[in-house]
Amino acid sequence: MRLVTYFIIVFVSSAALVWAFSRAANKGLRKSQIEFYGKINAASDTAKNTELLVIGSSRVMVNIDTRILDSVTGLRSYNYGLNAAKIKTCLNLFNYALHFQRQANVLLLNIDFNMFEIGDDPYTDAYYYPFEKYYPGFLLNDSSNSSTIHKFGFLDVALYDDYVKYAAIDGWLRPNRKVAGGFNGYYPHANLNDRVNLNHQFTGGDQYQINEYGFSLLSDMANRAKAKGMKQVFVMAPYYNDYTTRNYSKTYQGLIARIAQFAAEKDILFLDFSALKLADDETNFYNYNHLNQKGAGLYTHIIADAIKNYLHPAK
Amino acid sequence: MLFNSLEFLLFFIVVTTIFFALPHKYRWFHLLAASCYFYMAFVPIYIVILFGTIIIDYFAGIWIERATGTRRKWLLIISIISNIGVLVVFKYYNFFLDNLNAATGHAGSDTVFPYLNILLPIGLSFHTFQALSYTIEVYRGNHKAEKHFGIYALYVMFYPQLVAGPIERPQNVLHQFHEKKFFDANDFFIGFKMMIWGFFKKIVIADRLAILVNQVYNHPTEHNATMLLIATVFFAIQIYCDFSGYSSIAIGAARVMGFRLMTNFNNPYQARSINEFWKRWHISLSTWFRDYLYISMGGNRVSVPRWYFNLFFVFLVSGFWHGANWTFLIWGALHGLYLVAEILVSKTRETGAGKNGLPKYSGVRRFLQVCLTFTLVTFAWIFFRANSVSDALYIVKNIVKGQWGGLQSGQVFSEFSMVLSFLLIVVLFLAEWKWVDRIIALKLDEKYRLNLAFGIVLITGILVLGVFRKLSFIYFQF
Repeated sequence: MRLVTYFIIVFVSSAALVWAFSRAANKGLRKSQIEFYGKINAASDTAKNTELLVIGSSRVMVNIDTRILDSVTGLRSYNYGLNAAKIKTCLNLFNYALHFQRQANVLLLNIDFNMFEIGDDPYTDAYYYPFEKYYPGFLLNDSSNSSTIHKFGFLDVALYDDYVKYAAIDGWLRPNRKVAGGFNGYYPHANLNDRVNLNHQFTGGDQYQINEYGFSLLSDMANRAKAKGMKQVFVMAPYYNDYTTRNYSKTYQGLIARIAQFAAEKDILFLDFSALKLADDETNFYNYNHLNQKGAGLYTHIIADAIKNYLHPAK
Repeated sequence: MLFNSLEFLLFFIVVTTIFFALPHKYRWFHLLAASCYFYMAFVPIYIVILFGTIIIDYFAGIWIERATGTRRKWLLIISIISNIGVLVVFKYYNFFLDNLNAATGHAGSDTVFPYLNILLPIGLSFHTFQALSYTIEVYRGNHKAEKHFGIYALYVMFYPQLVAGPIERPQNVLHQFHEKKFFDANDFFIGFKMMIWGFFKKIVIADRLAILVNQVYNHPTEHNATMLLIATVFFAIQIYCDFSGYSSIAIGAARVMGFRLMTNFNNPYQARSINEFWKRWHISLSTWFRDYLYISMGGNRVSVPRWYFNLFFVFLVSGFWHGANWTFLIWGALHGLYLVAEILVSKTRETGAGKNGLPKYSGVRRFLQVCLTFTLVTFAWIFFRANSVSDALYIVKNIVKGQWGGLQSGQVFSEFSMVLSFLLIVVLFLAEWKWVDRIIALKLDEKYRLNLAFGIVLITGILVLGVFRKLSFIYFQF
């Protein structure tokens, strides 16, 4: 009997402690105003009624200035760009955004060369509450084996190695610490940061291929957007030109052709801006694949004009 | 089936429940069937090989007992060759061919000997050594041959220690399978505490450290000396927590059913010398080599140079036992050299310490000895963990050159995880220094609140801080 009592007390107490920790951590996460959790909180709590959802990786986060997007298109936009997000995380972000943004009617998705390399996605589907709570199906389908995740045990809280310094515990223990942000999810970068990386030789470039599972996720996203009656625009943000031609020549053609075909079939506007004229000028870049504030301003104007013309074609 | 999986949890509960529900005469069969299932959860077909060696050793044991003179010796040799033969084919054949092909290539020959495209049966080195200890003990007359085939098969296949030990001796285990076991609340309770401590070490500490270690050791050239050093120290802790965690789970799982397996680890990083380290680390293997190889070679009852050779050779073989790779051989050779050097300088050390005012049993001297031993052992781990000898040399070179930099924690390991890891290491050392073994040994009616706190803290710790990615145990590959 004493043994049974022991197990009851131990397991009930442990469960209670885990529950309490989970509550405390999540409560802290909900107050976090920084990086990923900050973006999620801002998007769910303060940026309601967004009409234009901007989804993608850091090449969305730092490349697309939502202020310009709003002023040119007349829509309320929110930049959901997330560092290193691949198609799986983009779909998660999109699903999550739709849960709150009932008025969303335009999807702007940035395509990256490595977007379909699912294994490189640094996020699991089991992170902070939104996806887990609203899209538990993703948990079951999680194929991520990323070594960069530190999920907190059985809790619905995960710490990303790349982002942890901005994340759960940080935000929880030091809620006043903030990272200078931009506007509605846009993070501006000042100047060219890394000249060495501007001429970075990425030897694995040609290995980036379309992963069929990843492509099926892209298809899911497009179908869901279509079912919601949303207009869809896919873009490919600029890479520093020399970098692109040197490293992605083979993959570039294959990916562009596949996306173009997909977009045509789904009635999606696809704009390949990977080799825009502004991409020849290194003063527009932060590093080889991210624009700085100046470049982002120029680039966002081009996108915004294209979206405006797409939504309201000149007669 | 990994211990750190939900499948195992379910398996363990079902197997243990049925074990106690069954009459004694059916229990061996139940445990054998469960062990077969456990083994077949990895690569099912390899159970045929395991059963092949079990049949050979079973009959070899009986015949050795009956035989006399040279025939007795030949039967032992047949048993050894059949066991080692399987090991050679599956574990070392491709390694030999690799080196042979390299040698013939250097000699200008185009001949390439074909490799075997086979997987290494899990835990092969462990159950092979356990089977060998049986026939050798029967040969030496220290144990009677087991007549019950099912019990003998269970001796080799008992699931808690099937894939990574402890490598048991027939004297310790076989008779336990014949004994009638009654449910003992204290055994159950102590076994449970061993298991959760093992899970804590594996899931919370080892698997967390593994993230950084794997990243750094798989891409050593991308990391500065600081990270290389931290990853090396982390690996020393990781492999300890991984393997001793496994052993705790194995011994605990057996204890729950009333079986006592031998201790495999005894705070090895508290050792004051390499000699002492090997009395505390993987005890079942080091005693195996001592009993069946070192002593057979004459041990220390030979000339001094031969004694040194014996020591060195045993550790070289121990390195090779771990894996068919030059990195393991170097690791074994290093430990062999350490031991020989330790004997050579022992008198000088005593004299030097005395001259420097460090009495034999002073705390400072003990601390320095522990630190030196840990440093030497950790240095050798570099070769154990590195993917190649060139990687290992690169790591050594860069650590020695000391081109230090900041913590490159951004890409792999967060600041939080880094701090947490160091905290966990401190907690581990403090806990194992004096307390854990004592708490585990407490019976149900002794210090009930302390027992409760132990269970609650560990289970909560596992659930909150555990890394649930089903990382395999390092020693499963051997």
